[in-house]
Amino acid sequence: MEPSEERALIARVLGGDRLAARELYAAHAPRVHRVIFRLVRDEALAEEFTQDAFVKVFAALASFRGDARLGTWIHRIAAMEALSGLRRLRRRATREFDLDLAAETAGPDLRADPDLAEQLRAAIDALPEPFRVVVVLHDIEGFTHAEIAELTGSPEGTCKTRLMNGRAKLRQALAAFAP
Amino acid sequence: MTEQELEELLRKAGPGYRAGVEPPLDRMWQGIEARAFGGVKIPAPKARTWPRVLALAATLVLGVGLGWGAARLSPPPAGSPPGQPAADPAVVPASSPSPSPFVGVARDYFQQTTGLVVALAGDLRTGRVWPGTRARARELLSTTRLLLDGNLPDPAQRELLEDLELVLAQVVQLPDARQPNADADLIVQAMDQRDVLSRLAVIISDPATAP
Repeated sequence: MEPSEERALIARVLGGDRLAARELYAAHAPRVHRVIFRLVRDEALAEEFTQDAFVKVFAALASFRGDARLGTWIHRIAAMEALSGLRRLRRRATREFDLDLAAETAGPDLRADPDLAEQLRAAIDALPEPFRVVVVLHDIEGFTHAEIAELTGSPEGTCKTRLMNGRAKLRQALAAFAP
Repeated sequence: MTEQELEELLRKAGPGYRAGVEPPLDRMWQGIEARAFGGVKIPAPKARTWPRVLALAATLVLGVGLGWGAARLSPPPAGSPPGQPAADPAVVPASSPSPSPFVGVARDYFQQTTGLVVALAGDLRTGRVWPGTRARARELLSTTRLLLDGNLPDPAQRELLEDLELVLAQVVQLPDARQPNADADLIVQAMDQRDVLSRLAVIISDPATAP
């Protein structure tokens, strides 16, 4: 969608045009849902957080300043919503057991499945959450380190270190598939 | 596996990572539509809206106060039985169709505050607050205090307003420097811990809970 079309669509939404709101949603919902699903890895949670994200998008649309493309702004809200949801879940989970530790120690059985794409999925899923979030946002979704730092509330240097460590773990996990 | 080989693998197979799930677009939209637009019209952007809202809020507070005072000073209606006090005008019958005069101002306030807080959350995570944000936060803070001085019957809304007052007061006091600031982290933590955004979303998306 061209910037001028985006501006016109936003104006229609802000004017109360429900069809325009649906149009905006339809244009961005598939990627928003995918970003959130990749971060939370649960279909029900992805559905819930996608709805939360769009409620916030529409509530805040009047304040959209146009500094970035609308899609970028929406996906930042989506990622923020997913990460905020993950933090809430982690707080809840730590009262029962340490999910991060469980994920870190479980580890995928890479040799059991010859499908490399499936192994990559398993290896990414097995990363400790802080590493996995940065790998997904940077290497899969294409967010910059500055954007990830903003989304996660961590310094940019920390994000870079986490990416480096996450990739090191991936290389280790996928060593058997090196050409 | 080398770094280059991993990057190549991520480039080729990365887009397929957890990409096979078909999002339930229609079902999600129904939920979004009900929460985002359920009886609440999306506010159109208006230049310099805040002074007008502030003035309106102040007028309403003054008007309601004068109304109460005048009614209390008035003699009982002629039809009242002798010895029986006149009905308290401050007590609105449950079946009264007239909404509180604060409804429009408060709803507008909550919608606009949501917009500011969402933008603010992004600004604060970088530690750099957009110059206009602080001015808007100051205007919102005044409206917050006016609403807090009003007669809000819902304790949840009062609690949210008190949290917003704290957040906005902290934003107003942030230094003018455009460098990352440690205070910004504290504000972000406060907003996260008090779940401010989610509570705002609930308030503005549910007309029944709007003040």
